[in-house]
Amino acid sequence: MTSRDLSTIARKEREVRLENLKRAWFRFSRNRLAVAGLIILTTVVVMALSAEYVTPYPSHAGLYINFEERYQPPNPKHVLGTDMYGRDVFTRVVFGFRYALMMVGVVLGIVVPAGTVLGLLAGYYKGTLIDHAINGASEVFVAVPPLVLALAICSILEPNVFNALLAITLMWWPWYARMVYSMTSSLRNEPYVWAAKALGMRTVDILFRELLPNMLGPILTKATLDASWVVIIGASISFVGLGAQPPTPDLGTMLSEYCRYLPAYWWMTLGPLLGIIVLVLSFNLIGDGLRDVFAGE
Amino acid sequence: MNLLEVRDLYVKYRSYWYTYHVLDGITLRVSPREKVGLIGESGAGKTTLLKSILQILPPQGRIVRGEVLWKGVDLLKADKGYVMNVRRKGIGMIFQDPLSALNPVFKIKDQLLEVLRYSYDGYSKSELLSLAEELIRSVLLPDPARVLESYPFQLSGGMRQRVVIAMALASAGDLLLADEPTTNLDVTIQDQILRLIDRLVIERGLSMILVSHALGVVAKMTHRVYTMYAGNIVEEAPTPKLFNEPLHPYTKLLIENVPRISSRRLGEGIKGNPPDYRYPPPGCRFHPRCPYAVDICKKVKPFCVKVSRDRRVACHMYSEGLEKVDGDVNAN
Amino acid sequence: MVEDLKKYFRTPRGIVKAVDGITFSMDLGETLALVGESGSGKTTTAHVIMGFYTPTEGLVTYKGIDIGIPVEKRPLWLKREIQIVFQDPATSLNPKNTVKDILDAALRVHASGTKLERLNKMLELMNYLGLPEEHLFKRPTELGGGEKQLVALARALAVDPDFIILDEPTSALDVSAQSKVLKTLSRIQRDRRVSYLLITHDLGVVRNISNRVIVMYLGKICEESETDELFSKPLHPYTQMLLSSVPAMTKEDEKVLPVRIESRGEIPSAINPPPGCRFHTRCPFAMEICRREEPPACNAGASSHVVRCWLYSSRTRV
Repeated sequence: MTSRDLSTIARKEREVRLENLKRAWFRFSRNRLAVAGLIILTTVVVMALSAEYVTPYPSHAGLYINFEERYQPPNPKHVLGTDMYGRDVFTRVVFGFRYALMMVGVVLGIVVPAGTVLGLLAGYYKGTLIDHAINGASEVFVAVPPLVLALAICSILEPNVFNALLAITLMWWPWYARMVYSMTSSLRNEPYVWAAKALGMRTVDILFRELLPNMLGPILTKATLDASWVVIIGASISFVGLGAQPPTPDLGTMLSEYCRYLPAYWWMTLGPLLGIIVLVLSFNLIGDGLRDVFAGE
Repeated sequence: MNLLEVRDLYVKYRSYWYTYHVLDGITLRVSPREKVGLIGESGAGKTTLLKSILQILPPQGRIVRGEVLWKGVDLLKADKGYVMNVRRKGIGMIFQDPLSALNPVFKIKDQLLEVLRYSYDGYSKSELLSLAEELIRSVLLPDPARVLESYPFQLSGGMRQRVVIAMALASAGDLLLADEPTTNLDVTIQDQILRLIDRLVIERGLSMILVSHALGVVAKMTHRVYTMYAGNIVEEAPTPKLFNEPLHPYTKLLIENVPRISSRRLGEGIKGNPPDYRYPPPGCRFHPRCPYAVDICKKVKPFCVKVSRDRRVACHMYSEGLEKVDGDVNAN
Repeated sequence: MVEDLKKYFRTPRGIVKAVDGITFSMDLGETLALVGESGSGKTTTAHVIMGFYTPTEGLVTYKGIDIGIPVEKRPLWLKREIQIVFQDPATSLNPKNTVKDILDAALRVHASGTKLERLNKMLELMNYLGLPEEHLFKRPTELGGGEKQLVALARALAVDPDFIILDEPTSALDVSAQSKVLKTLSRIQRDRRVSYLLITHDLGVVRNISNRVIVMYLGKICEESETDELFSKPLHPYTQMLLSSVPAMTKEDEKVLPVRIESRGEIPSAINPPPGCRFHTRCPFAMEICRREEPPACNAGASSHVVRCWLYSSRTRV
């Protein structure tokens, strides 16, 4: 066997991987709505990342007052109108995406891996102390209604974005832990797991190389669908005044500030509302598409 | 007259992207009181054929053309009521997996009564119940009253299969379709079940189509055998002749490769895998795996020829000088 | 290697005596078949040897060392020497991993070496088992049944074991694939001198690849013999019942079948096994003594032919 053969094999491997990706994309693209969701979300993400450049008035995001232009209904200059300080609502919503997406990223970035690892451990060591400890803890968190827990944490601690994140994270991990737990405890008796044990594979490898790949589909699907829930709950916390504080352009905060001016200045509320709807919808559409991808395997 | 005759049946399955050309011109015949076997690997289309006869194909499946003649009436053209009546009173089917053929949340009694209600319309509940008990007794289950009151999980595999047979008998007025009736059962239990089926078929004067990939089972139970490969019937012969002197290369290989209790001689296996039904090979569907394949096999689909009074085979090796027969050999 | 092994399981309905005192040993390079109906305890025996369960009582030794410990606690060399091939390759191979991942996982545990060395070893194995190279990047679901089982075999062979447990290696396969797998098994044994413990209920498979057979019924051994001797002269009524239940395919098969003993009854629950000889409830020759006392091991015919049945108790007891 020469090194040339090795490179042929490596090339072949890449080809096969590409082929698999293509097939997955094919299944995903069959769901037109999911593709639409993906396009919307990509646009939103790009806009949020480059908010300073794509928005007409970046300075309007924070503290900015221009009484001359306040209460303007939607017009070519201000697509979604202006608010009570004369700030461009569209600009603020785009900056609001940034906060919402950050929240989704941070919450899911912590919750999904943590919940998955805890669920794997509890499921693999079912019936042992590890199982009882993890499941006991998760039951405590599940028992408290999520929004109430989040509100409690935010009101005890200082109300700010960080604490809102902490609150959401704390109440979310048990759901992943439980889902992964139930999958692990049934998969751990599959013959391929026994075969791996008989070969002497390390437990870490069994957990992450044998078991995890078989659960990735449901986990990713749930994560995408949950992303929209994070957006909603994050906005709710801010809405009641326990999350981001004005003048932060958070969608929930904006909503609570602006809804006082209903119904006369309806466009102010419409802006953040549309923002939330766009995010929630696109995540949900993508989630449905992912479900199709994994169901087809 | 033949009880059942299938003529030149083509069935396709469709998925979102692909069309699977599964049955590729099946012709077969069952006489009254005859036991017919159907052998072949899994995926040869045996179960599809049985389902097409009953017209219980899944929605993706479509009968393209052909005829299914039941007592001379084409079921594919007959009205729904007639077909329904055949399903309820004419043909009974034993499904493969006794655990999934029974609904785990209902008592045996309820499931059996459900079937009987259709097959014996106009009977009162108590009459049906005594019929059910009689059926359970006829499949040699001890203590019928207790069996009727149990749930499927309370019975052993062998007992469940007996219940499934009883259910099939309820609607088998003339023909019993047995789809792998003993797969997953121990050899001792298999023996008991086979003896039971054999006895019931004879006692009730039924015909039977027995599908199995366990060749020994078919050898023991049937009068006549069809070999199926990839949606084609490749050989037909009386049972002893087929097993002792097979003609078609596929049948030969199949028989050679069964690990036997009589010898320590193992075949070489059949190279390759069953074909992809999306793109079935042209010509003879077996040619990519056939050790005797020649040029013509790759191009022309072999037609059925009658090689002796009661045998026919679809292979180019035998077709020279012989005439094409479309229907069944014995019918001509 | 196995001495008076017992394995009981505690269940809500009572203690299941899955394996109840069996003793046997194996030589290097031989194939020993354990046969019997499901519920006879053959798979449990195999799993105890693998360390998936620990014995309730008795001793399992391998090369003189007690191995009655769970697989997780076994030293690496021991895991390397004993491997298992499961019945259904569709579940014993991880459906999400490619063949390369599967083989690489096995190689990484035991044969350290560079990526290239491991790859070479994989290719060598695939070649040896007659699997085409391009299968390396396929997932098990894309392969045929026989090919899948060969991959499972390759995984076991990857660590150079001395002893492989074959748990119904062909019963999930089609006829066309069965003989290929069986032939490959025989070839491996010739080339590498591995021992096989074959668990199966297919007597045709037993006849074709094993040297010695142990017939088990409800956790006990009924008969033990060289393969050819057992098929030509089955002594225990249960063995005879098993053999006569095999459907004969051709005239030759019919000749092999012994006096027909019609199969009747079903294997009783192992929670409350019948007293005396456990088979007496289904045995056509059952006598008074069978219901009371366990039959002794008797030597009948060839010296290696041992049967536990009262019918032969007048012969030399072992």
